[in-house]
Amino acid sequence: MVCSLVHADWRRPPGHWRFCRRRRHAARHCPPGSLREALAAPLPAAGQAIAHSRFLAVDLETTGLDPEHDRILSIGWVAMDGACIDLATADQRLVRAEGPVPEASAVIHRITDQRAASGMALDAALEALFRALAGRVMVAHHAALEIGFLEQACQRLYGVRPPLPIVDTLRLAETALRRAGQPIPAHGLRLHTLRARYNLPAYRAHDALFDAIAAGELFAALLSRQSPDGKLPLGRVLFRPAWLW
Amino acid sequence: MNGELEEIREFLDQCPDLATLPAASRGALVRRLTLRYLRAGSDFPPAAEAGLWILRTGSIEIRDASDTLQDRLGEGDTFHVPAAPKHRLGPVTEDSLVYHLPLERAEALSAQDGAIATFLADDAPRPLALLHGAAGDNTRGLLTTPVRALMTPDPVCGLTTLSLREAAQLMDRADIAALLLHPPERPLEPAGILTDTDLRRALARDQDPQRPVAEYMATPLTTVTGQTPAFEALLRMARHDIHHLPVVQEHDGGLTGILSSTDLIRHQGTSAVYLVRDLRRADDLPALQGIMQALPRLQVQLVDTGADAVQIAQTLTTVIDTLTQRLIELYQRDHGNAPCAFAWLASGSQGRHEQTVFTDQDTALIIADDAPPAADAWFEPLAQQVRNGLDACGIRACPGAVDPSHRDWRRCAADWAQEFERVLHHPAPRDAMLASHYLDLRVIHGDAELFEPLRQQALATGQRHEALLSALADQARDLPAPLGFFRQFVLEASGEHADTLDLKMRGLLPLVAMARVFALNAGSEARGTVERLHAAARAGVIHDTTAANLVDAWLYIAGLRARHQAAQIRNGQAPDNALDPAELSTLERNHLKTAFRLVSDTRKSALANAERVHG
Repeated sequence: MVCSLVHADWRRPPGHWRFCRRRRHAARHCPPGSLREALAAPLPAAGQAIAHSRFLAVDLETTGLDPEHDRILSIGWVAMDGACIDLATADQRLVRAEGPVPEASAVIHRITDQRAASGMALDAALEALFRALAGRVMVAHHAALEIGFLEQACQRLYGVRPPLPIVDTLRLAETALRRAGQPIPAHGLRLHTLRARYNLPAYRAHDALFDAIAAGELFAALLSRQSPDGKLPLGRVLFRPAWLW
Repeated sequence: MNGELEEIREFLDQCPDLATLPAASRGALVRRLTLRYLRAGSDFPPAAEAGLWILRTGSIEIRDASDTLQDRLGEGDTFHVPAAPKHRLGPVTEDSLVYHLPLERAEALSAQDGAIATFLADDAPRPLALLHGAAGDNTRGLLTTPVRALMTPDPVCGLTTLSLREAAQLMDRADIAALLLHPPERPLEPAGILTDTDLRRALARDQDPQRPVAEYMATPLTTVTGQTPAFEALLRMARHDIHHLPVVQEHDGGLTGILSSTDLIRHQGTSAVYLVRDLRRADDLPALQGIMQALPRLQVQLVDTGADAVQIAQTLTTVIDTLTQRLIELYQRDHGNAPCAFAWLASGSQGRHEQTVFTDQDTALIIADDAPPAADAWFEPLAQQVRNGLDACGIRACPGAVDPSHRDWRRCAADWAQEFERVLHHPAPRDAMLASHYLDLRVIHGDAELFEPLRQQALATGQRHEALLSALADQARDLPAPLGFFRQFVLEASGEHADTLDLKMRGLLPLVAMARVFALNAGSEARGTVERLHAAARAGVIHDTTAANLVDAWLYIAGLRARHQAAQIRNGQAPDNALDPAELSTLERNHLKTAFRLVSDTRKSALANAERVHG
């Protein structure tokens, strides 16, 4: 089953077929490797229960916010089965920088030029990420940024922009708060602000790995409210634009 | 490259229940954990899953089948579910982030790691056991160093047949302050010791330098072995007021070296020896007062060198014993010798060798039955003078008036025997306090023979009279609970120490009271709490693990009190037992909670057992 079609309208958003076709197309046109395998792996059915879905919480540390000009510094991820995070799969890759690390981002990530130089080539890091991602749906906080950087990097390295299904915890939290009729203060949707709201610990480390774990935990916290029994269909939490591209 | 999960490992390091695991095993746990988010109101464990659960944030209640609250888990607590439960164990009361070691991973890990296997298999782990080991590791202080490492090997020896002059020449050539002397036929078995002091005394008395040294040497010798901890050697020096100890072999008593107080000082400052010496030489109360001002510094010094709670308490008790003895000697000097034999006893913390700088007096006096009619005219002022003297030196006169200036604590031997009979054999409920004082009595001056029949009487009581056991067990049970209902510290509600934790009342006294019951049942004459617990375990009154746990708890709480007081002394404050929990790190708070929990858990179970006479 490559793509599943079910009857309810919300489970069959307008761009679904196009999204599947683009995935197949990207899989055919990218070089052999873990990206191709990840794209060729079947998409989970939109109606599948969250409890039986598999996710990969991902975080990228970058030199800035613009995928066109800024670079990826490190990638961290941890796998989730349903809402359960498995620390055995926690992993991160430092990417060898091709130029100096801007001071502003070095302060945030504590990734200095020296440390960045000790990293690996970007394509090796992506290779490891996509190997972990095969068969899983990506989870990220403010997913547009992750998508933008990954697409840009894949375009440059492999000549394709991979269509990836993704869960955006920022959008989920925003919807949850609006639905509960709660005002959203300035910065109220930042990862760390939201975590405090859900009684999650404040991590000292701000590396890609702990931010990925942090996003995964927030996702679990959101799910515990939205779907305590885990029966909510996967389609309901996906970042909609992914289906519309 | 694998990501670093350092922060999670650090969190596990802080979990009190996991403190018994070696660091490597805790490290191995990290990558085998899964993370769950449990919403308030959901069931624990989720999906009835077995395994080890560790709370990162939030709160979970554990209830039994009748829905009675058994435990309330908070941050850093662990809960082991060995097999899938048939029903929920309790509700999640606050949104919780939990780490979970699933059953199959726990089994796989147990197969590789013995420490984890023991941890998961052991129903009664010793949560505080490693703390004492850790304290010993980083100090390598007086408590662990064997005498062997500090002594001067192959000391210079002389023959007992030498003359004084020859001995002095020998000491001068070798540049030593003490000369061991042995009979000509047994070179490795010293018979006595001659020190600078002995030479000075001989010279001052105009003695003939040709006289044999054997007439001036100190004999018999107090010795230690190479394995004796330096701390014990220090205590021995302090108790006997000597500065040199020959070191002999354990198996044949052969001489291997000599240890001087200078050797100990070189290792670290040891003012206890000097404090005791100065007290022995002080001539009047102001001199004693001046010397006793160094007592707080002594406690700070002992804490700094990493001495444990038992060692600190023993040292301070030795100093205070000496002070008491000296006060009695000074009274005898001024008022002539006693009209009859007597024995001065200490009870309470002094009797148990458990004093700190913040302590009060618990003393008693036994007067021989053959006392002449007017004897009390000598003893009553003695009692008053010693009481006031101790008070002036910073050992407060007891608020409950346990001291011989009251008739109740100053009796003739026959009277005491009757009193012991009444209180120990047929105790009224209000006598439990008296009985516990009687059981802690120890002779510190005078004729120990006077106390001997009373000691025998007390010792036999526990084997025969259940009434005393249950009175004491009740007393132990009635002491305030160390922890509140929700396993929170119980802080003092009002008064000078409002919002602080009374370490003595909440932690140590319940332990002391329990240990007394156990030891009485075991027929042990041990008085120190730690000794009593060990004795009770040997006699089978309590389980070995229980004893070990309670000893750990005692060492931890008493050690914390000693450190708390040392910090107060350093800041120029008066030392007390009132601890502000905010002074503690999270780790210390968790350990203290664990210690308190051990005390209250054991109090429920073990006391009921121990108040019955066995066999």
